[in-house]
Amino acid sequence: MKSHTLALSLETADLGVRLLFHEGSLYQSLRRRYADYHSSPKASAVCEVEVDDGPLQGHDPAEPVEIVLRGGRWLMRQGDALELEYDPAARRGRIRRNRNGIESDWFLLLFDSALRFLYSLLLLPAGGFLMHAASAVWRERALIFAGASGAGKTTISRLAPPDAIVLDDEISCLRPVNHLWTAYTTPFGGALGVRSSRKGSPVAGLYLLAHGEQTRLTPLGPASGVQGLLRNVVLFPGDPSVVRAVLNAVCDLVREIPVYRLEFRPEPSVWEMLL
Amino acid sequence: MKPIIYIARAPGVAWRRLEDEVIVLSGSDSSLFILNAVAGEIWEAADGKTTLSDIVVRRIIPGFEVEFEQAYEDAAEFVRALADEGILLVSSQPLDGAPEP
Repeated sequence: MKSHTLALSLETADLGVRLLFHEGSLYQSLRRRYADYHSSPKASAVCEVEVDDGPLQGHDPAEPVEIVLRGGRWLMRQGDALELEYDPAARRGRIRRNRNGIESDWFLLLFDSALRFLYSLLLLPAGGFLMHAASAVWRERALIFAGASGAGKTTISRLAPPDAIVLDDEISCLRPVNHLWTAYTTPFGGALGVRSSRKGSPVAGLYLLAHGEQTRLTPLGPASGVQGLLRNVVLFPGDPSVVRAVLNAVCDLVREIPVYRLEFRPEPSVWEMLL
Repeated sequence: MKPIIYIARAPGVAWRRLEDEVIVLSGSDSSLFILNAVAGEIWEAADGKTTLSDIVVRRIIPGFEVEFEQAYEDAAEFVRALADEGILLVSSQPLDGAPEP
């Protein structure tokens, strides 16, 4: 029997997650790390996740990330350091950690990954998803810049005009709210110190980033738009219902929001072509 | 006389029509396929219960003004390609296929 429990309630994209701890050190580290995403302990959560210690059995330290669906439960293993088990039907999960190296920056990044995976699953029933994309609110509308590492997400974020608010420069969250596609910040930021806001912003444009000799904006048709966006969606194959939900969400998004290929030279004038 | 071939979308494959094209996403490895108008007609008709010949006669020839022989050869080639990718099932007997999107 555990003597006490510490609860850390987080919220992004209007989805609350309650993390339950049995000791204070990791709780305090994560409380600081996710300070911009706290929600009231009394706020309703879509799931509860108990954080407990290992030892982790049968884990291959050389296997960086393994994700499987077994018996209706998702299992995400990160080497021999951390594993997340989540039961979507019960809306309950468990994170087990190997105590070696805990609370190092490296371990906290692993915890980010587990939480990112959990949020990817939680967003699916809401018709949303996480994407490798920078995002910014400019003139009250969100612009999404999708691309793999090195595509220019951080660069385009640094070039944002002073009146734009950069939401994220690494992972962006999109979901429909009252039939309106809405972008939210996430706790999984990249190189920039981004400004978080719990409030969502309506999405006005999607831009697939590419380096170019010239700055050029090319509208894409629906299929090309879906193809380009899906390359950047955080997707976990293996479960047909997940694959179907992600495809439907991206197709719905492309029907509502224009998609462009944006080749750009790293100059502030690139923003003048947007909106 | 063409051989009797039934085709069905493989289980675990997600797909969606977007205007004139059909987007297919493999559930096993997330491979993405974009099918043009003709291929999309064949894909949508691949219910495991209709023969490839019937699909060509009912859905390709009327809509695309093409002769049967040419349409069938093109359809058979498309079917072979998607079967090789593991997203389409081919059989001489009726098949169960993937659910609707």
